[in-house]
Amino acid sequence: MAFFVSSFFLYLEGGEGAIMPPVPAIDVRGLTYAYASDEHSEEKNHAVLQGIDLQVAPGEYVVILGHNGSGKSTFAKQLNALLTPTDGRVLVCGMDTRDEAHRWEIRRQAGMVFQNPDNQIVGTNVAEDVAFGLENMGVSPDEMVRRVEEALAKLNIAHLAEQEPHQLSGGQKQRLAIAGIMAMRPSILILDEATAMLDPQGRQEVMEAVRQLNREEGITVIQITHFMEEALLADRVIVIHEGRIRLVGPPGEVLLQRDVLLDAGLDVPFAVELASRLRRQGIKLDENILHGEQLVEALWKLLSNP
Amino acid sequence: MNASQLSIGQYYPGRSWLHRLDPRSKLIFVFFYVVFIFFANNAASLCWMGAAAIGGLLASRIPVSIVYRGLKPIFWLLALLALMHIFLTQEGPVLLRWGWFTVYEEGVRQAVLVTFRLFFLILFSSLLTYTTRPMDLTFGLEKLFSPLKRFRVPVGELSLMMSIALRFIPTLLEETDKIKKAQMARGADFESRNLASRIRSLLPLLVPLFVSSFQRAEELAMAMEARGYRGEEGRTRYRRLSMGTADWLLLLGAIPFYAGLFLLRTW
Amino acid sequence: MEIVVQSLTHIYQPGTIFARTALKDVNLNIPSGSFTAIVGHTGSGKSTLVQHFNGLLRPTEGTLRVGTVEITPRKSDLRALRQMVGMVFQYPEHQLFEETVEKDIAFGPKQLGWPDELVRQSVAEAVRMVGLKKEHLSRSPYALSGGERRRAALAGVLAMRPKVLILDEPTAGLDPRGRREILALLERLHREEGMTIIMVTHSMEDAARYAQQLVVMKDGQVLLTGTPQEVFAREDVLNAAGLALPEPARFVKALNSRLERPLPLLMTVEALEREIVARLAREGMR
Repeated sequence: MAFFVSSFFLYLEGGEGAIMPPVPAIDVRGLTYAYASDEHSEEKNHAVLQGIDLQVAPGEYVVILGHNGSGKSTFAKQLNALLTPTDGRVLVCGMDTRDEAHRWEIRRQAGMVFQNPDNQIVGTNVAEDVAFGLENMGVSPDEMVRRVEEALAKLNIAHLAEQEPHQLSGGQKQRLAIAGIMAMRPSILILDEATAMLDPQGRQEVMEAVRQLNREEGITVIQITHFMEEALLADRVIVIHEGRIRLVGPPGEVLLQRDVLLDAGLDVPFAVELASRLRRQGIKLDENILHGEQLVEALWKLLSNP
Repeated sequence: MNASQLSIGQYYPGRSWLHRLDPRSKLIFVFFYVVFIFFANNAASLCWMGAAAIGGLLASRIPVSIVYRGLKPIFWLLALLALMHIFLTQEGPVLLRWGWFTVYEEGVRQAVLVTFRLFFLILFSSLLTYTTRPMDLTFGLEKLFSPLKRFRVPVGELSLMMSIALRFIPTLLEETDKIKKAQMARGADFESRNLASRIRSLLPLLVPLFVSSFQRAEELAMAMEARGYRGEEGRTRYRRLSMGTADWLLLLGAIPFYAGLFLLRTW
Repeated sequence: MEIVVQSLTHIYQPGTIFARTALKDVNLNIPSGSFTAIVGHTGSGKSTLVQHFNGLLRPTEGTLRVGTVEITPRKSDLRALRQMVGMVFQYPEHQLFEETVEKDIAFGPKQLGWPDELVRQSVAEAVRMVGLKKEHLSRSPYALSGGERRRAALAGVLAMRPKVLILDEPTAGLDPRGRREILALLERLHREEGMTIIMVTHSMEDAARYAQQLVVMKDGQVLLTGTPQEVFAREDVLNAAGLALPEPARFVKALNSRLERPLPLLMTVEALEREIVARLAREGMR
């Protein structure tokens, strides 16, 4: 966020030596998508995207919320050219996803972690799986050893290097997947419901790892999820419903929109829900209460003032 | 987590010099052993080949009990083969008569020859699988066959298929167990004495397994593409093999060893 | 139907180098018609415990009684339990295999050897209970959506008319709407059909909202049992088990630390709303 703002001011200073505003990590304009073969599909997977506009700045942490079938996973796959737009365009680090020549560079820049931890592990042991992406890139074996070590250390799984995939917990498998992507030195990390099949401990492990990568390496993170708790720490939250963006903004704004969230099939944060109900009963509470602590404060004031 | 400490297959972990050999040298040595053992046709040549098998077993430091347990199933096969040769071969002088059965000398000779040949063959090739991890074997084969890439043989792709299959075996076993339990909870009977109902009960096990495997394959393919897989063209490999002194010694030593076989056999 | 567990111990692969003690001296009582939630980390023994209730596993030591059936380490034929105690595993939609939804739901009853008419009735009832529509019955299970498949799998177990229903993470992989629907369904089954329900879950929020009894497990042992209020009063034990209080409980505790007259530990937003409104009305503040 700071990077974006400071570059913007540098640009304003203008004149000679003015630098261009940074290329958005992701630039989506008028993205429309439909599965060609299914016009009357009842399968919720075959969601349609309708006219999506979104820019994600480098280093941003963006959470995309949506219920199953809202189009969020279809959208995710547009970001690394696994799917391409029917209309509109998607630029990843300035490269158009429809351009086949750029496809592999796009996929190197925007790495994706999938929902099922097992169905993305190829290698027979941890170190080998991390190397898979590097092998595909034709990296030299010596360089591969270096990068694999580096990636394992970043995700705190170096002690698991010789383990076989079935010996890992869910959280460890997803960290392995992230390590495999980090070894390719991407600038964007896309998590497609990567925590949906994990237990709370695994989810925490993965979230901590991702936040650390965002903070320390400046990796742009795009996290697709239906867990509203994960949206609390994002820079921006985007709510997708029926293939369209319903809400965009910082969590402090978006997560207060109780009615829209419920309509979009999502959960509402506990404090927001309780505050909203109390307000409807005539109790005066600040409109911006998002966290439990804030509600505790407000209620204590009300209950202790005679 | 159901962490299985034992790898799949027959691999028995260890640090013997057999374990530490490059899989390629082992593969080559065993290949020739399997072919040439059929040229052993007398006591001397058989003992020669057998000594290598037993020597290898000792060198691998694998407990005899493990090997015995692994070989137990084939003892019946060997016994059956021996009996067939004893009673069905009708050459050479008669050794004894017993009721309807006549035993000829040639029959006994054949029986001994065939059973020991087979025994040593299986024992020796087991040494390969006991001392080499399945993944190393696959990679060794990939390296050995890689010259064929020039002739459009998809060596890399086949090897990748093998290694992915190996990687998923424990995962599939876990899944089978889960499905089995779920169907047992619905009254499916996998332990019935009735063969017909046991076969019928395979359906609730196999159908879900197949369906999930297809889904798995689709998701895996997508993940592989997302990680830049676009075929074997230009692909490097992380795993490395290097032939050491012991490997070259083994291969060089193979020449006098097999020469000895041909010297000892009856022409 | 009551379940009573006494000194239950279970060791996987006993006597080998892989031996693992999954349950250690567990004592537990599940009253007939109750809704119990078993919570704990992965590896705490929750799944191992419940698999004893329908006879999938036998105790290494100790005994348990399910209804009138006594289960000991020596008892061999536990298949009668499979009808009385229904078990729904995680991601149950993966077990669907028949050509049509109807046939799949009928699988359980047929395996029990029930006559055709009874099978038909049970299937129809199960379908009604889970809220599937008639159109779904003749279609292939794979033509249904994820949520519908899960309900079809649940119907397959309900069709066997169990007295006890055990569910392992019934909301795994579902989005908020899906979770609400399944949990509401379970609550309905508990209330209207009088089933004893045992839910193994990671979600303290779900446990708090729906369960009458909570069982907290860690490393194969039961640390604590009781009503949600009783269990949440022991935050130290929960933390020892690596679990956190559900949000509503955390909120109430935080608020109570500032109040002179504490609020009761309520589990749902609705109940808290009523309590707070009432409290404010009494204090004359609006």
